[in-house]
Amino acid sequence: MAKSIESYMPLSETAYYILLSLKIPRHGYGIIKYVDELTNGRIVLGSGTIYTTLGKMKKSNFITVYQDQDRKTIYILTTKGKKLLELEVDRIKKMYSDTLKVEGVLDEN
Amino acid sequence: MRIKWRLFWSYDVIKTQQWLSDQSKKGLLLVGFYPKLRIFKFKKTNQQSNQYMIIYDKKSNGCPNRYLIDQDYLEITHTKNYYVLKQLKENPQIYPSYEAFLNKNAKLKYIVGNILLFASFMYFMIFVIILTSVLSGSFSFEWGGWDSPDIVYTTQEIIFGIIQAMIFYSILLIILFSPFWMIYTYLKLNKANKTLEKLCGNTKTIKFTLPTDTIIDKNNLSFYKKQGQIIKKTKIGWFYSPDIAVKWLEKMEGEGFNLLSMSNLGNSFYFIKGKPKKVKYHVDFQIKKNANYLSINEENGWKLFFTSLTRYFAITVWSKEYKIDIPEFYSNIEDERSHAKKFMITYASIYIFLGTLYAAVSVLFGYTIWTIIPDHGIDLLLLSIPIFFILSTILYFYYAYKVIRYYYRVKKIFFRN
Repeated sequence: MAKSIESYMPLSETAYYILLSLKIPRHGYGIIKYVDELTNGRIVLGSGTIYTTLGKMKKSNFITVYQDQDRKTIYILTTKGKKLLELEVDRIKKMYSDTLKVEGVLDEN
Repeated sequence: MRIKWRLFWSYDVIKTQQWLSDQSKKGLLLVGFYPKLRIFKFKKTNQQSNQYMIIYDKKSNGCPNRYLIDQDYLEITHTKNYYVLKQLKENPQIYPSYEAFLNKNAKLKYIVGNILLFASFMYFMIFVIILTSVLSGSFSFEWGGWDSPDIVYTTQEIIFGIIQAMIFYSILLIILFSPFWMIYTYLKLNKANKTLEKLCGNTKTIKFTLPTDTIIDKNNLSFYKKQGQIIKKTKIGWFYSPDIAVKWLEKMEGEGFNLLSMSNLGNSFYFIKGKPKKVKYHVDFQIKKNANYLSINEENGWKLFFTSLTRYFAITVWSKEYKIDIPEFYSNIEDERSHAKKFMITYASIYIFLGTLYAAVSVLFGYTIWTIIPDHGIDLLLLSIPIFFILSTILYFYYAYKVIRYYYRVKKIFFRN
């Protein structure tokens, strides 16, 4: 039986940023560059990390691969992958708003 | 309706696609495909020039919608694991990937290759044994026919005999022809998979285990060696403590010995005397390396020195020069740890298995020799076999110990310096 999407949550930081960057299809190296820019250099993904994480995601059918005109491999989210990203974004938003609430409390003291 | 049979269509899918498009030029249009039966069904129409793609995909069960949305492709037919597309544009923006197809064929090639290797070793051993016994005269042929008195067989016996003969001959046929099938499969896949690898985004050319851009010309090598500019260092079995090897390589670079190339089996390193450099090395282990494994790391600035012959249980040596920030192959420590664990489990289990096997064989041999010593006396030839097995056993357990030690060293790292 296939594992439910929820069982993959919460995602690791690496996996989350990879899924996030795949909002539009990208090359492997494109993901590294995009995440670096997005986080202002806070997260520099190693290519080994990217390779293994993408492999796992492919196996769980969150992403699929295709080739562009230069025959370079491009990664794209599947419907299941999009669903996972949505759920994660939702969870992180909640986490963020909860954090804000607590921070407010702390500031008053 | 025309039906055509293509037995080994999947070995070279590119050729099969070309064949389908040739059929369409003759006015035969593909309408059905039964991969298990190797049958292609055609309809007679006017001549067309169509481009086809056959995609293997275990997960999607038919073509994913995204290829059809852009109207680059039209799905002709699909089965559980395959779908056939007709290309609607000359140069589509995207292509469905052959990666799953390649993985399937590479696995088949690997299995068939290993069986062939094992079988040829066995045949060689049998050949040697027969040859030695014939030469030593302990083996002789006896010619003679069977006596055939007049026997009357019953119908039952005859039918039974025919069935027996049929079974015997079919087994014989399979035994005789499976090597041909295997050799054909291996050679065909060896060639076709290279094309598929390129179509799956592999740009690197590898000769045996070395990337072609690091291979040094033999004449140059001996010339520079004489001049003392190139030095060769050999470390047998360094694979099993990769972290120590990596530190040694980094130290060598720091002292101005820059790695130029490695030997085919990966045991030797060739350095050239140059400038001290800050270089990060990484020895990577993958249970399976995909077609884009090399290119994804190379695009990220890692230089390839060595990669294993097959795509399974692959060890690869990478390096990257840096100025200030040390580049990391695995950006988080969990990945590094699980990488080390994978490495440890694979090699420790292989070597513990081999070590135990060889230990058992040494005990067996030792015991046999012990029992024949009183009659035969001790000689070196007799003792050489158990000594060989005992030494191999020690070596295998030593390698297993080394990989386990490596894993515990990596496990202890909490922060990188």
